[in-house]
Amino acid sequence: VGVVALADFGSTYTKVSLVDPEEGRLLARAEAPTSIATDLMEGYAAALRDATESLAEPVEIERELAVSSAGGGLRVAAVGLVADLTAAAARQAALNAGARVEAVLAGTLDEAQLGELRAVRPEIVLFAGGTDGGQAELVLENARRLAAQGLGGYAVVACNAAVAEEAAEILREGGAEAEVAANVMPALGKLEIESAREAILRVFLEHVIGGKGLSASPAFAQMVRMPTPEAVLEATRLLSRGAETAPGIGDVMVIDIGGATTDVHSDRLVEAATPGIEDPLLPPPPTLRTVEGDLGLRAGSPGVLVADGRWIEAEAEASVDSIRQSVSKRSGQPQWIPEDPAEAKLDGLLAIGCAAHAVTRHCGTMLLTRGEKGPPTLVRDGPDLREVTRVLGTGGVFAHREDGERILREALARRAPRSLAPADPTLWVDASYILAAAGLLATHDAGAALRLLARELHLVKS
Amino acid sequence: MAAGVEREPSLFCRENGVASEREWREKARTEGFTCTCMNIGLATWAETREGLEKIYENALSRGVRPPDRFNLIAERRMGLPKDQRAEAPQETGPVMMTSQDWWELAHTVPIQPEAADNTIGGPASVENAIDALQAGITTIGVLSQYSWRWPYFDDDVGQTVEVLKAAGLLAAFKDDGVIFDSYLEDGYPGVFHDYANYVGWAMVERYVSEELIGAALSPSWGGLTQDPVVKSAVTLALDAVNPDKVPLSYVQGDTIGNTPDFDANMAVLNTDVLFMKMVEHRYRLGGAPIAVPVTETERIPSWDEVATVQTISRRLEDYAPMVEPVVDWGKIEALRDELVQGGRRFFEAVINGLSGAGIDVRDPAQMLLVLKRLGSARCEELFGAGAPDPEYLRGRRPVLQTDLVKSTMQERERLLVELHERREQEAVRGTKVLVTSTDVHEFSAFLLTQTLAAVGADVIDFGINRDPEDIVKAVVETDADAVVITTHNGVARSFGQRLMEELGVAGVGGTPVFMGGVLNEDVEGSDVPIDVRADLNENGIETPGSIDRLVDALVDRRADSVVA
Repeated sequence: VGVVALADFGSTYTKVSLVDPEEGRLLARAEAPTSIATDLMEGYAAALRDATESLAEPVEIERELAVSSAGGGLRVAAVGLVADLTAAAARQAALNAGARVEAVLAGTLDEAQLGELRAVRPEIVLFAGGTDGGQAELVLENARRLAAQGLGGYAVVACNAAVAEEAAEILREGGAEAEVAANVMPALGKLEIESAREAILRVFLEHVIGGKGLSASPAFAQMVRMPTPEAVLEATRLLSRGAETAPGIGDVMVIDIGGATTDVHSDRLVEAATPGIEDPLLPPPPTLRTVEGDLGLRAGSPGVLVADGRWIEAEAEASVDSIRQSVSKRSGQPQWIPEDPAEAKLDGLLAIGCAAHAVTRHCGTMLLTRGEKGPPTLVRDGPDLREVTRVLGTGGVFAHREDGERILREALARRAPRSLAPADPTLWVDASYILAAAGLLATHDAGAALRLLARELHLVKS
Repeated sequence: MAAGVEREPSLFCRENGVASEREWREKARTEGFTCTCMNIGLATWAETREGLEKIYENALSRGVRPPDRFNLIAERRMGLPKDQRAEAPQETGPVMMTSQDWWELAHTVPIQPEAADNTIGGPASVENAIDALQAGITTIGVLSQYSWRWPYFDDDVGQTVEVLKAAGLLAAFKDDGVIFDSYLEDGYPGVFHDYANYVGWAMVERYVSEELIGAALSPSWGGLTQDPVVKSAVTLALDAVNPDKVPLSYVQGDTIGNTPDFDANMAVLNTDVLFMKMVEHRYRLGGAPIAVPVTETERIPSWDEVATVQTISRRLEDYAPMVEPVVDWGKIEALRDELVQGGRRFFEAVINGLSGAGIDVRDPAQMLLVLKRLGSARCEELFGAGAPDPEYLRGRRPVLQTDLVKSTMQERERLLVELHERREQEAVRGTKVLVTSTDVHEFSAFLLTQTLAAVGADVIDFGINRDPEDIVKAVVETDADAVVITTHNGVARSFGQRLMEELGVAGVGGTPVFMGGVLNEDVEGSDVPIDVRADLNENGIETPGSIDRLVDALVDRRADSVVA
């Protein structure tokens, strides 16, 4: 049997899945500590060995693919002119490329903003601003101010096309390697982030991942196809849209609860028309990834208490102090696993808090505004996902617990008033933790990836 | 539900010996007399009741037959469940609060009421329908108002279900002559660009009401059409797609030809009503024209203003038979046939389009809800009867443009010809002009984008209903050379002031700003909005007054910048 090895280089563990692409079957999984101190390929080799040895028969690994978030993932800063126009477009392009967006800067860059940029040391600056044929002066001024910082690193220039080459040249003179992509907002309210997203991924693969010094072996950089979060987004898109071999399941939302962050991915095939409800200035793209850096089950758990402390305290039936203690234990130990029912219950509550708040932030809210004159108008400030029919939970909590569906159900039941979150979706969970692997496999064979999803998520009877 | 409804005849039906208004209208059709209708909705029900008495007495004292029917124009709270009406924000207009109010509605004078605005359509559709039926009312509306929103009721599914239940109740009394009324312009057709789509929409509503629910439907219409020939053709087309020959509940008088000059409006009134009467006289549709008081564009008409136009309407019944034989009805009928064909195309496109998208077109709830959510513009773009043509706003060349579109397109032609004659096609080539509106008026913004593009400007169409803050953001990103704003909602001064401030804050304060439209604003101490052009000019905003002069101003600006 020809088998594909799908690796996920995480910051703590390196996970390997062995998949039979013909059958779309997960054959084995194993993990080993990520060997960040020596060579990442050591941890991979250990996990791969465990996985193959768990099989009854020897297999031939016909291909090795990987995603990576080791060494801090892909760190990007987004620069634009207006905060909720080109800066927001740039931010979304970076998120959809699976990046960690370390800073979003808007307007004419001042000393404080440039200081912020120096502090976060992004691997890539996504430089936007102006519509095509629109603002040039302020865009070039920002390029000059960035260049004066001598930041080095890489820049993707996705600004006003009329001055993009000039802006790139200015950044090059400042010591950056700059490449030009299509404008992320070529016209007012028109979001076109694919070109910038692809450019970011290309720079990541060609320069960033190899430059992190994570492995001495050239095989590592050859295996890596994308940053880990991008694989989940790919899988989301594959689920909803399908591939040439099979149709997808339609609009879908994926809630990925991790130790440090909670990501929400959604993909809508058709934008629900909501007459009488006005669109935001920059309508969200059909495929959308949001990342909540303050919501997670381990490093992110103190943020959950900030966002949702009262609810968690009421539900946990424990003293505030003991909850705080439990949370601080989690925040310092990414690998910690609850030992008793009370801690397991708290994990469940934290997961509900993560999902509830991340979904509310991902989706739009309908706001009733009243101008000085005229009838009140309803405005939405983000995507309308009320009619999304499927919501999938992924992440360790769903793989290790039996009550994943309950967590999702309770989280969605807590949708904020006037939220445009899915109103009545079918819920299901990624119990075999296969989503990122499937997204990765899709880069090699979309049909196989879809078969894998169908089987492991029980979309069809296996 | 229907079994619990105890009905009694209205005063009108009892006096005229008919079981329903439908029976009366059918009698009018057979015997050849014409009915009239009026809209009434004074500040409260008590005032409205008193107005009805006075109108009735006034007609008798003048020796004309009183109106056959009045439409109760209740205010929006009527759409809310009764227990919420008292607490909801009060607007101007009558509201039926008690069963006594309902009884009086049909028993104050022998003029048959229609329970019209806000009866069916909103969250209280079912209870309103029961109240209206029990009072003796046999024509109840308004199906098209299901597309409306009520404050803090954004459950469009629940609302649609209420409307369907109420319609089911009317269906139970279909054999007793109960009719479900729908005033087309209250729904999406009111903003359609093509009359053929009006007709098609009426077919969709009829299909849902009669075929799927079983309630007799009468499409009413007319308020947004000035051309009497077009109006006659559309009225006949609506009757032609009405297989059960349900009498047209009413034809609304023209409300767009009127101006603040009440005397001039007399011409609008006479022509409009005369044609409606001729159509009734010749084709016997069983409809009832509404004569619109000449003051209606300026204020809610008082009872005597309604009485005046009712008298004129009755007198015109004497003139209709004199003129009718010499009108070229062949032309009007040809137009009717074209509209009917177009209407059928629209209807078929709706049915095929929706069923192709997986909608169960035998389910009235799905039909209504999906169409509502698609929205008017999208419905016309998707299903419109006209051939695709990108020259037009909705992407299709209308079979017969609505009067609102026609006047807009005529104005566009006039401007383009004039600019062409002045050899100004290239006058502002390369100038980036951002065009937007402070409110929902799309036609002025359309004229601006069309004409500015014709003189070579790079038009940035920023849509309608924008805030000053949004405009500033757009200027920053596009580096627009000029901002052109049309406004019709009485906010010109404060809007302009805030815009100029915000442009300055964003560092793009030098951008020229032009405003046009209705440049006024409400101020304390004045009953009417005051002209604010001087304030705008003082703030640095130019007010050229017309599109021609706007182009001149842009040319001047350009010349200045070239010299500079």
